[in-house]
Amino acid sequence: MTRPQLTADVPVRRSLTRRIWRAVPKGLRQPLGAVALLIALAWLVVCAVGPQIAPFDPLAQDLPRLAPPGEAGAVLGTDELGRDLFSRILAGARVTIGLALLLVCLSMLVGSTLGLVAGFFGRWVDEAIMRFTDLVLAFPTVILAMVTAAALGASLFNAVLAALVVSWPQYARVVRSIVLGLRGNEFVASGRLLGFSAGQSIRVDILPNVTGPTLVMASLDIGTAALLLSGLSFLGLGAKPPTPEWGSMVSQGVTHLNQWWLGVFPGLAILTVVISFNFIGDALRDALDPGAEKA
Amino acid sequence: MTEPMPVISVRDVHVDYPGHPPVHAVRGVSFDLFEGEVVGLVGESGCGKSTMARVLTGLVPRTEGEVEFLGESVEALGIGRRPVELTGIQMVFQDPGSSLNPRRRVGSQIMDGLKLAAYRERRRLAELEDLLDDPDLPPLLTRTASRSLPDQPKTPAEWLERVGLDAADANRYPRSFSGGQRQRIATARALAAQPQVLIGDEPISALDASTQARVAYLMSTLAVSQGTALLFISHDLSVVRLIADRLLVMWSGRIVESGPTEEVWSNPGHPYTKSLLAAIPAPDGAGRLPAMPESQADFDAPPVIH
Ligand SMILES: Nc1ncnc2c1ncn2[C@@H]1O[C@H](COP(=O)(O)OP(=O)(O)OP(=O)(O)O)[C@@H](O)[C@H]1O
Ligand SMILES: [Mg+2]
Repeated sequence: MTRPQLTADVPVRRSLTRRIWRAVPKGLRQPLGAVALLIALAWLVVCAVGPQIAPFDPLAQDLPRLAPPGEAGAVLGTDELGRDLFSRILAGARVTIGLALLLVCLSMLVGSTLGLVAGFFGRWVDEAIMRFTDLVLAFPTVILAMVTAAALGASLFNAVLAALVVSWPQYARVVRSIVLGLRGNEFVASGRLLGFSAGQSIRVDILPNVTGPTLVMASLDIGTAALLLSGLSFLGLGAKPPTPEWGSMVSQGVTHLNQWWLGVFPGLAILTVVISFNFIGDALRDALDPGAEKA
Repeated sequence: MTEPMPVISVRDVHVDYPGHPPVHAVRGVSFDLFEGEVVGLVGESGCGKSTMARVLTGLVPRTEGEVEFLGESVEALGIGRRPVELTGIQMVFQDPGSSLNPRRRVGSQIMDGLKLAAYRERRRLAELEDLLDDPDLPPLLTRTASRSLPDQPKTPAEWLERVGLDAADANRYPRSFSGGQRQRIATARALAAQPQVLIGDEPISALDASTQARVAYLMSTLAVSQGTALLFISHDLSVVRLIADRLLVMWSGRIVESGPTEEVWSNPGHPYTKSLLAAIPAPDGAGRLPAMPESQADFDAPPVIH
């Protein structure tokens, strides 16, 4: 008499897991995508608990200096001050990824707001905002960020500000063009005819149709943001010692070319973050694009 | 006998779209629309029908002329909220694919219309209260009146039933409805606002032949039943003929012929109307419009027949 119970139990469980599985974008259900998703999730976990699970204090200088991987209990070796590289990478995830997320959120907020206003109100408002956007976009990204960071003074917060200066315009441009397309829609006109104010129209008819594509863009941008922030730190314009930031760790590695582990491991950390988040962004974009769904 | 007052009166309206050279989309159109009547506006593609509809709602500014809604001049919509006095003019658009917001449940979209009706009703009561102190005669029709009739649907679900859908459909999103069903929902949304005027800008053109007549018929019956004047725009005379009391034939930015539907139908005066009628195949809604006959096509100013 146990059998009926079993059959009654199993389908329920299966449908629940299947429902969760279905909610995962298609691109992430393929092996490569699943690996990317796992890596990204693992990094987010490390962001949350990195310092706690680190085998050593990331700032303590009590291991042998420049020990190669595996020696003295340091899986990934130690740096020139005798600090455990593995522990520093785990602790650095919070700095690099956390700041990248902060940067992406800020750029999305600033850029989309400006793009929304430009696209919705049009005329001189649009003209003014887009001229300014084009002006920023006319500079090479990294150089403008470098100059801004140098002008503000080296600190992690200033590096985020400097990166923000160069990364909001892409959001403004994309959101503006989405809003321009939406504004021509008949449901927006019929909302206005039913007495919607500009604010209501934006909130009810425009915003919900903009958030999806914008979030996809943001997820695609996380890797780039991490790279840009690490780049600024690499150039000495971001994190200051002894903060365990990946970009500045790579830059230390460059000065010790014989101790390859110093540069390679933090570099790999940056690489996996960039690739896995890009993969997720791509999958999200494909999931939202109705044309790709059919293929 | 007193002249009935038109709900909308259009006088010598011109519309130019800026450009090089500017497009003269509407070149001197005048007509009246009376309470509760169904008027068909027909004409070939590009003759200025949509432009006319958009001028009446204020979505497009006019270059010249006057449009009055119950005595109030209709001005172009700016960035701000549409004046509540003008919300008595509503519109159903051509494209069923974009006439509803894809991210909102249809029930809440119909609610927009109901909310507007309630707001206008409150305004009307406030106006009436003011009138009690006014020694002058109160006007019979006030612009903010929503003319709430006793048997009007009060909820989105009731409105869905009124347009032939299910009450439970209120929780669904537009993408799960067919084109014809979406136009019914858009009609419900507009009529829920209890407007004095409903403009349908080719609301059936994108539908297949079998649903065209049904949706057109539904729109006109519902509008007439609540006393709303309907301006029904189409390039298909065979369907319009079934619902319109009066026809306006537009050609090249002008109204070249107007009159009671049967009169225009049986005794067309203008050459364009004649070729329009000649081109009508079986009344299956698949009718295509003819071009202007060769001999007339070069005329800059077409003959106008009233
Ligand atoms: N926004 C615009 N800018 C410039 N020209 C326009 C614009 N909208 C319409 N026109 C032009 O104005 C003329 C009238 O267009 P309108 O859309 O009013 O025609 P229509 O009678 O509604 O045609 P259809 O049956 O194809 O919908 C056309 O020549 C068109 O090209
Ligand atoms: Mg049109």
